[in-house]
Order: sequence, then C-alpha cells, then structure tokens
Amino acid sequence: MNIEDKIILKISDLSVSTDGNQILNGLNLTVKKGETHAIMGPNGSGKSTLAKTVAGHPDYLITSGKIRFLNKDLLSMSVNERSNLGLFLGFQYPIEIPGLSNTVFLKAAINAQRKFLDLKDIPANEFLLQLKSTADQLGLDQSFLSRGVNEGFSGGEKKRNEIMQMLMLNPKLSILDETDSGLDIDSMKVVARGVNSSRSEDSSTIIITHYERLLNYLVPDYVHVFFDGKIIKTGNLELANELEKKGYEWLIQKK
Amino acid sequence: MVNSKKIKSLFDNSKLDLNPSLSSEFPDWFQDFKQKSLDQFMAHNIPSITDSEWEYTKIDSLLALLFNREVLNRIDPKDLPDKSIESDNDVICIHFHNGQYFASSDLPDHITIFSKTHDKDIFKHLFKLDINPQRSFLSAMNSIIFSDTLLIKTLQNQKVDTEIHIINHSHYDSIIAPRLHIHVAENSSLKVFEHVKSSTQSVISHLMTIFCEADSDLEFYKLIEQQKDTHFLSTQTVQMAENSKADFFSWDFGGKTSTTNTLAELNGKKSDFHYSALFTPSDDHHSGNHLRVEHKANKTKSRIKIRGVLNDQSKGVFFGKIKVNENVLGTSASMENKNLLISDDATISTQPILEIYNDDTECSHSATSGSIDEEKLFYIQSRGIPEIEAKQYLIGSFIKELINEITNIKIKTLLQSNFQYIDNQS
Repeated sequence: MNIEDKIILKISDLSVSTDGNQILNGLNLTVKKGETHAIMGPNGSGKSTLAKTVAGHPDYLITSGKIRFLNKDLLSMSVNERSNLGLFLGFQYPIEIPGLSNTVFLKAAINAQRKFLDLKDIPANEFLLQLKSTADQLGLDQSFLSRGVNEGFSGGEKKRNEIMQMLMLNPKLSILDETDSGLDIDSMKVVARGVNSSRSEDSSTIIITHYERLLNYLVPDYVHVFFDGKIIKTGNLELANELEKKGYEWLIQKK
Repeated sequence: MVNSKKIKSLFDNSKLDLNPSLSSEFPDWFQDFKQKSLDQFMAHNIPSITDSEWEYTKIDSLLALLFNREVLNRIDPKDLPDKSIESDNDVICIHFHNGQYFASSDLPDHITIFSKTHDKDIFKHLFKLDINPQRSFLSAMNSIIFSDTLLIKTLQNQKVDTEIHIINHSHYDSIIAPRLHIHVAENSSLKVFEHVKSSTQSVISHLMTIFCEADSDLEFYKLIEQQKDTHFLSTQTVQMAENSKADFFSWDFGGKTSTTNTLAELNGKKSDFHYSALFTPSDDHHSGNHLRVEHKANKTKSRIKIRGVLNDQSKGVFFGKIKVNENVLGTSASMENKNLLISDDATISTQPILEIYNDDTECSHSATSGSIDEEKLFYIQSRGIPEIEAKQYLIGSFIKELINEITNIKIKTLLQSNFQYIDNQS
C-alpha cells in the first residue's frame, strides 16, 4: 500500500470565510486510516467551521486551498456525495425535523448510500434488526425510532441519535463536533463506547471538543490546538491534559 | 367587457346541448330558476382583478374559455370513463361525467340524483339564488351551467357507515358545473369523499351546500387533482345546528385558477366546525382560498388549519375571517395558515382576520410563510440524500400534520400517494 492509499483526508492551505469573516487561515491537516484526531481550541478558533466546510455547508466559502478525501477532490462534490463516499458529520446542534421519522430518514440515508455503491435497497427486516440493535447499544428506547428526527429529544438524546446514525451509516471518516457537550457522565460513556465500537483499521475519527474527559475514553492518536484558523500545536493525550489544567493562554502567548 | 349576447348564447347552448334527458320533463320552476340565475349573473359585475378576492385570478383567460368558443358538452363515447363500478361493500361510488350523472353502484334511499329522479320537486328549495355578494357570481355561474345535481340526505338517527365516493370526471375542453347538496339530519352521521379528476382546458364551476341538523356528524373529504389549463371555481356553504359536528378536509393540487370560497355559519350552540386544507399551486397558477366562519350561537367551536406549498411562479392567497357575534358567549376559535414557498418566484398573500364582538371568546390566529429551511436541508443531505429528494422529505414533513388529522385509512392512503415522500410512521 503506498502512502496515498493510507491517507483518508488531506487538507492543504485551506482558507475559509463565512458572512464576510475569514475564519480558517491556511490550515493543513492529514488524517490516515485508523487514526483518531482530536481538535481543541478556544471559541471562535475555527473548529466547527472546519467541520461544516468538510461536510459542504453552503454558507462557508473556500477562498483558497484543497481538500482531498480518499484521494478524490472533496470540494467538487455535493453534500450528499461526500456522505455517500463515507464522510459523516456529527452535528454540534442536531436539527429537529418534525414529520419525518428517524426510521424513514435513516432508511432513506442508507439506501441513498447503497444506490451510490450500485447496491439494491436494504431488505426491510435486515434494516429493522440492525436499527433496533444499534438503538439498544446506545440505550435509546424503541419509541425514538418512530418519532420525528430529533423532535423533542433532550440534548443527550440528540447526541446519541447522531452516534446511532453514524453507526448505521458506517462511515470511513467521522467528524464529531462537540458530541460531548451537554452530556452527563453516563451518556458520555455510552457515546464513547459507541464511537469506540466503530473504530477500525480502515476508518478514522476527528473529535472536536473542549474537554479532555471524552478524550480519556477515546484516547486520540493526535491532539491539535486550533487558534485563529489554523493549528498552532500538535501533541497527544498529554497535551489535552495540560490544556485542561492551564487553559489556552500559555500556548497563545508562546506563539 | 361583458358580452351579454355571449353569456346568453352560453346559456342557450348548455340548455340545448348539455343533455338530452334534460327536456320537457323538467318542471317549469327549474327553467325559471335558470333564467333568474342568468339575470343575476348578468346584473353582477364580472369580477376584475381590482377586486381583492380576484386579484390574481386569470380572469381574461377564464372569460376566453367561457365565452369565446363553442361550448362542447356533447359526450363522445370514447371519452367516457370506465363504467364498471368496483363493488365494495364499504363504499358507494357515484360517477359524474361533465357534470352529468353517469354511473353508480346501487343507490340507497338517502341519495337522489336530479336527472334520474321522478320527484324533481324535492330539489326545488335547494335551487335558490345566493344573494351574498361574495358568492353570488360563483353560485349564479354554477346555476346557469349545471345540468345535474346530487342530493345526499340522511334520515333522523340514521348512522351511515358506508362511505359515499363522488367522482367527477370531465374531458378536454368542457365547461361543467358539479352541484352537490348534503343534508345531515338530526342525530345522523355521514362520510363523503369527493374526487375531482383532472381535466384539460376546462372551466369547472363547483357548488356545494351542507346543512348539519342538531346532533349530526359529517366527515367530508375533497380531493381536486391537478387541472391542466383549467379554471376551478368553487363556492361552498356549511350551516350548522345545535351540537352538530363537521370535519372538512380539502386537498387542492391546483389549476390555472383554483379558487374556493367557503362560508361556515355556526348557528346552533355547541356546534363544532373543523376545516383543514392544503393547496399546492405550481407553474404560473393561482390558488385562492377564501374562508369565512361566523359564530352565531353560544359555545361554538371552529378550528381552521390551512397549508400552502407553492412552487415555480405560482401565486397563492389565503383570506380567512372569523367573526364572533355580539351576543354570543363561550366561543373557541383558532385559525392557522402556514405556507412553504419552494421557489424564489412563488408568492403568497395571507390575511387571517378576527372580528370579535364579545369578550367571552378564546381565539387564536397565526400566519407564517417561509422557504425551505436551509439547515434542515443540509442536515438531510449530509446523510447522503440528494437535494431534490431532501426537499421532498421536507415538503412531506410540512404537510404531515394535516395528514395525521385524517382518521380514515383509505382516504389517508390515497391522499398520501400524491406525495412521493410522506412518511407513514411519525
């Protein structure tokens, strides 16, 4: 396997603006297969902008740079093609869609992916079995499946629902944007177990977080610190522990 | 603007051509009624787009269809719908073709068809001029053109479980006037479904009156398929006596013009009126929805829920007025209009109005209009679903609330089948 085949995501010199404000300033990041990266950094440093840009949110304007995903030009792909190819974004604020049930939504998502891969629709009973066991794994009651997508869910339920979608879609790269925010300790453990169960040699995860707590469960290979739209320091879990104690000021001043 | 000769010739043509069965056996009072309707129609100024209710109606093209060509109402056998009636014990099907009775299952006593019955006098009190200025143009037009009428009238205490399905067929290039009278007698109940099949380049002038006697219960469903280059003009009145209940569902998929003018009068105490409607114009179509509800007795209740989904360059109008009379106590009324504009060029004008003359009233009204929520669209797409499909899911979720109110499974399924992505589960 050559080095290109091992790379899932390669971001080069990426600059992004939204609403006329420049948020990312020449960002570089490479994620290889099987790796888990954590991104930390103060509010407004560009973490969520990166997540939404990679997923293809229309409000984010790429002013320079490239993103390659599985050795393909990501920026030329539509939002759904990125997902079909194996990209998953766990939303910081999952959207409520009353009138569209979780089950129907997830089935449509899986079948869209299968269509992209030239596969037939998933058989109904296979889908339901898989859905129920995934819901059980995340401690989501069966009644959630027939409710509208995230409709009236608590913060913790919404985040578990994101992880359920991730497990069902079995992506190659998951970007989890503050999936731990608003979770109590038990929910965090459940979510962490869910994420850990999806890890494999072929798939990778980027975790955006403010807290080391989730990282203690997930143990990332790299911890990056964002500031002013780019990475100012890269380390491992020890860096996250240090940030928890000292905050970001010392790093920013050092810079 | 109005060419009276042409109107006259329209009337003469329809009288002569409409149906061979309509001849000397029809009573004099019927001909008189038609003549009076014509006089009323002629006396009435034909609406212009400066009238607020007709602002977006394509009146010129409507008049062109009405007056500037021959009236083609001869029935060509090859245009006839399939006469075989599905036998279904739960349903009575009655087919009309170009406004004329055509076929049905065996009809029970509570259903009478004007062209078939020998006792035409039972229709006499139903054929009367509507002097209300908001509706007289529409009702007079129907009265001039119509050639047949359906009367559904229950007996006291009669609970009719068998649904009545009315299917209005029409063919290319016709001017038709379906007419329907429903009378739900004291302590009786009835379920009616009216299906207006699609037609092309036609004028459909529709009239319906509903009278609900004390303690009666009516469920009424209306589905208007998309009418290509057709003007669908409808006027309907609902009168409700003490303790009566009416649930009204209307699904209108539009035409060049599709306009419905509804008046509900809650005359008896504790009467309960529920009106739920969807309109979905596209292309350069216009959809007008004019609704007036008058609370005229104590402890009456009305719930109005209207949804519009507007595409392309279509224009929609919702005008809704709830009026609570001065001496009326304990009214409960709500009126809600929500519109989803799925094209940048579509427009909607919405006017929910409350006219309340008594403080002992619980009343709410709201109107919202907006385009597809970009964040919802992005969320759905981010799970791999293409944009077009994602939009259809959002349209489906927008009208889901209306669908959920329908308890009749068969009708619910039929209505849902008009949308690709309505989810049956949530």
